[in-house]
This record gives sequence, structure tokens and C-alpha cells, in this order.
Amino acid sequence: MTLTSERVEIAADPREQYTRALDEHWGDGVPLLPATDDAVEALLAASPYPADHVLCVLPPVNGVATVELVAINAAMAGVEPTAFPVVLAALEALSEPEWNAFGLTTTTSSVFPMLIVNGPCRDELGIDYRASCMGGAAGRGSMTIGRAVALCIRNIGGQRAGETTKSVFGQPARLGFCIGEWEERSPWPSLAQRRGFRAEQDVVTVHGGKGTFPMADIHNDDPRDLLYLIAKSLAYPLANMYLGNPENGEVVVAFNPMWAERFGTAFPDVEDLQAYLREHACQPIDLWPEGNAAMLRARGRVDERGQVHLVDRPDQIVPIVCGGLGSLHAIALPSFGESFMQSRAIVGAA
Amino acid sequence: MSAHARFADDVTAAVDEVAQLLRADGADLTLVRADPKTARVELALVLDGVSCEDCILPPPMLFETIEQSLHRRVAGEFELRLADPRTATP
Amino acid sequence: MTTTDPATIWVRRPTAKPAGEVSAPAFTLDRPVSGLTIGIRADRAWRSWQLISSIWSERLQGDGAATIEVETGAQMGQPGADDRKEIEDLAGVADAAIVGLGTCGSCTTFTVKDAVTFEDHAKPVVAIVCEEFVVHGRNVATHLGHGDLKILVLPYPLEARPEDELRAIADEYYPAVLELLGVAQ
Repeated sequence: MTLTSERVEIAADPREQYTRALDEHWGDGVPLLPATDDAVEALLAASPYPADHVLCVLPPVNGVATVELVAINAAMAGVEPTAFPVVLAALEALSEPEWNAFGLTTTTSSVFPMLIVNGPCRDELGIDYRASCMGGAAGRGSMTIGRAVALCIRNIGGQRAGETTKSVFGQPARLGFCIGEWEERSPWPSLAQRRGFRAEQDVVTVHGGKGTFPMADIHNDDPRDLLYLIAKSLAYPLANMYLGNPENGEVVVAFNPMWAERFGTAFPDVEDLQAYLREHACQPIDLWPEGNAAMLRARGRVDERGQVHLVDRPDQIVPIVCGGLGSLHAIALPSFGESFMQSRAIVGAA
Repeated sequence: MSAHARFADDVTAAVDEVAQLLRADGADLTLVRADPKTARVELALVLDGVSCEDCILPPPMLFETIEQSLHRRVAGEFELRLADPRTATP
Repeated sequence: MTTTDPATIWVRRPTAKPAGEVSAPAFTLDRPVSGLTIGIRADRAWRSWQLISSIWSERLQGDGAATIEVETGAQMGQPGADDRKEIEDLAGVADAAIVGLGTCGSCTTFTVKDAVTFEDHAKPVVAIVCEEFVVHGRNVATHLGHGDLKILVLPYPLEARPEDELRAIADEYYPAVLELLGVAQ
């Protein structure tokens, strides 16, 4: 296999490599693995595409992401060959026009790709979907796949804080965010199934999420009451979806398995659950000061009951099931707004 | 051994440990299902051979004892469901 | 492949080569605006720009131009497609355009993107970008292949300023926007 990317001589000492990576602006400030030829070639062997295949063009600088370049970044992140197709599929997904990579990689917002994986590959690849899946579980797949995608956006897409991206705060997911859905504990079809894939397919969905928004309750076991409170929590007044078009974007809400079971008993049909959440994800127009309220009225956001709904349609609230068995918690991944999540089947090497 | 196979073995060992205690009083503890994919452990308390039900650990204490035995052996979280004839719901 | 120095190893560079900086041409009017149609793109999100652009529209009309004002606000989905089509249609009929406002990351991106649509139609255009985002705006223009896109830089922040300040800014910067459009007096 002939690699065409530039070869660079670096120190063999890992600590000197780290310093060199910082000096070269390779990466995110966390130590990296060296992208040696054998590491890169092992990943390329697991790719369904040849090394020179142009997977996508990554903003903000419209860097051309060949599979070889992606493999280099994946090698630096420690991606295993079996997990490399997930990285490729995720980059293809976020390059779809409707994901709006151009907007999301440059905005002042904290939005970043958040990967949600469905299918049998979750366990095989160490993608976390149980306790502490959004940080702390340390599954190799979760930690390396998300990071590889983030490194590609940084090193190929040229996303640099304060330069090509105006993100005011960034967010922890900029080091990578890759979780699975605990499908076996979900009372509903999986996220991938609801998006048209078969249960046995490995699928990655890329959501433009602004961070993790935790919700907790210890006082109420009633599913409708809990969902009502979750809906109200999603509709926080400074949510992006109150700034732009209510018909664009999705907000992901992750239920812990214990709550999911309870919610599934009350709402066996996930569309009914989504409709209930959408109905209650609203706030009275009086909540906002007059300057904000005037804009909401001008944009026709206030309904006949004086409520301002977060989203236009139930399907814009996307439930998934994951997390530990401690109950009591849900987490939302709030939406940037001007972006639609994209899914791709994960295709391994032929 | 895969994590899933280990789950089943670890649960079985924990169940056997508590079952031995119960058998002294004529009761038994059976494993109904241990599903590593859902992390659910379903057990059933059998009281058919028991002459003195009061001699068996009270339901909350039995549940806690089983849970502790499982925690000592099973890696990660699990959800324990115990069908105890002495209580209204399993 | 090994190096000759046992203390070093070879790795592959992870960064993409920068795209070549080929810039599409920018255009100027080289005549007075009287008799021309000037397109003005406002943004539903920014009241400050709605006011400034409406003042400039009045001034242009006073100078003998006709103005067509459109208001965008979406980037994605059908609303986004509708907005891009509206810009495309405007680029077909307007003689020149003023496109704003870049005062956040993604809105700067789409301001520049919409301004580029006019240059693709060989029309003079000025993108209005606030100071904090001008580097970003320039980057976007360059990476869209329109590094010579004319950008007028307005003060930042703009949105929370009182009306009298915004009116003063509109008056102060009107000559500059005409100059960038290449309006000959």
C-alpha cells in the first residue's frame, strides 16, 4: 500500500511527541498516538474505500478528507481497525448538506457532532451505552471514534478556536462524543429503526448537539408527570430553537432505562410519547421580557393559548434510551436548530 | 470468555451462594433469567418445601442479601427482580 | 519505514493541504445607482440590521434606485431552501446587492454564502459583517473561492444598541457601502 500523505520525522519519546503535536497544532491538547505507516495501513485495510477516495470536504476551510487522511487522524485517536468504518460513516453523515456542517463548524454556539450508534457493533467496538455512557465509562470505541471525528474536523476541516470557529465556549464534546443506544432496554424501536434502518444494521446517527443538559427528579414516579417536567425543561427560554425556525432541528432526550420502562408503559407508541412531549415543550409568552417577546410574536411563534412551542413537530423531539440503572435522570442534547441529524449505515471492508 | 458469558456464570455463582443458605430452611432460589444484554437478573424464591416461612429471611433482607452477593461477583450494573411469593408484586 | 536515528520515528501529517487561493472576480457598478435595482438582504434574527438596511433602502431610493428587500433567516430544511432560492432569484433581477448581517458565526457564514451567489451572477455585492466576525467572513469567502468579495465592516456588537445609535451608524456607513459597490457619483 502506498501512502501519499506527507511523512514527518518526530521524536520516538511519547512526551516529546506530545510537545511536537502541540507545536504543530495537531489535535486537541490531549496526548495522541503516532500515526505510523503500519497504524494507518491497518485502518485502511478495514475501509470499504480506497485510500485516495475523497470521503467529503470538511468545513470551515473545505479541507479535502481522503480516506487516508481520515485514517491518519483515526490512528492518532487510537481507533481500532474494526471501528474505523464508524468514523467514515460519521463523517459522511455530517457532510450531508442538511446537517449544515458549514454553519455548525463556524458558529458562536457550542454545537458539535454527537454520535449515536445503533446495532450489534456497540458491544464489539466498546461503544458505551450503559452507566456513564456520556463520560466516564471509557469504552475504547466511544473514546476513540468520537475523538477521531473531532480530530478530522480540526485537522482536515481546519476548525480552530477563535480563528475559523467563533464558538464562544466550545464544549467537552469537542474532544469527541460517541455513545450507543441501549436498544435492549428501550420499549420502543431504536433510533436507527425509526429512521428507516433494520434492527440488525450497524448505524451511526450524527446530531448537532449543544451539550448535555441534565434533568433529575426524586419526587415523582408518575410517567406523565415526569414527561411533562422533561418537556418543560427542554423548552428552556434561551434554547436555540427559540431563536430560529421552529421547523428545523431536533432535540435528543436520553431516558435512563428505568424511566424508559415506565414511560413505555404509559406510551407504548413512541410517536404518542413524542406528541406528548411536543405538546408540553412550551412556555407562556409572558416568560420572556418584552424585547424577546416582541420578536417571538413577530415571527408567529405564539399560539392561540399564548404558548410558544419549542418545535413545530413531535418528530423533532427524539427520545433514546441509554445510561445506568440508577434511574432518576434524563439528559437532553439540545439542538443548534439549523441542522437535521443524519444517519448512515456502517459499512466494513468488503 | 466474553463479557456476556461471564455475566451468566457470575450470576449463577451468586445465586448458588444464597440458595445454599435458603436450602437449610427448605427453601430454594432459582435463576429464571440472566440477560447480559438488558442487565436484568430475574430470580424466584421457592417456598414449596418450607415448614416455617418466618424462618426465611424477610423479603427486604433477602433481596438485599441477593443483591450483595451479585455485587460481589458481577461487574457493572444489573437490575435484580425477585419473585417472592410472600410479597404482592415480584 | 524506520529512521536512521533510533530516537525518532516517521509519522504521517494529519492536516489537509490548504486549498489553492483562486478567487472569483468581484464586480463594481461604475455608475450612479439611479435607475438601477438594488437588492437588500436582511435577516429575521437581527433587528439592528433590519433598521440599518431599511434606512439604506430609503437612501438608495432617494438616490434614484429601486430596491428589493428580502428577509432570510433559515439555513436548513425547506425554510433554508426557500431562502436560498429567494436569494438566487434576487441575484437574477437585481443589478447589485447588499447582503447582511454577519454578526455571529453561522449567520456570517450564510451572509457570505448568499453574497457569493450575487458574484456568481456577475453582480456587484457587498457583504455586511460586524467587526468581531470579519476574519471569519474573509475565511469563508476565501474558502468558497471568492476571496475578493467586498465586505463592509460594521461595529460590534450591533444588536443591543439603541435606535439612535443604529441610525447614526446607518448614516455614517452609507457612503462606504456605495464606495464598495463602485457607485460613481
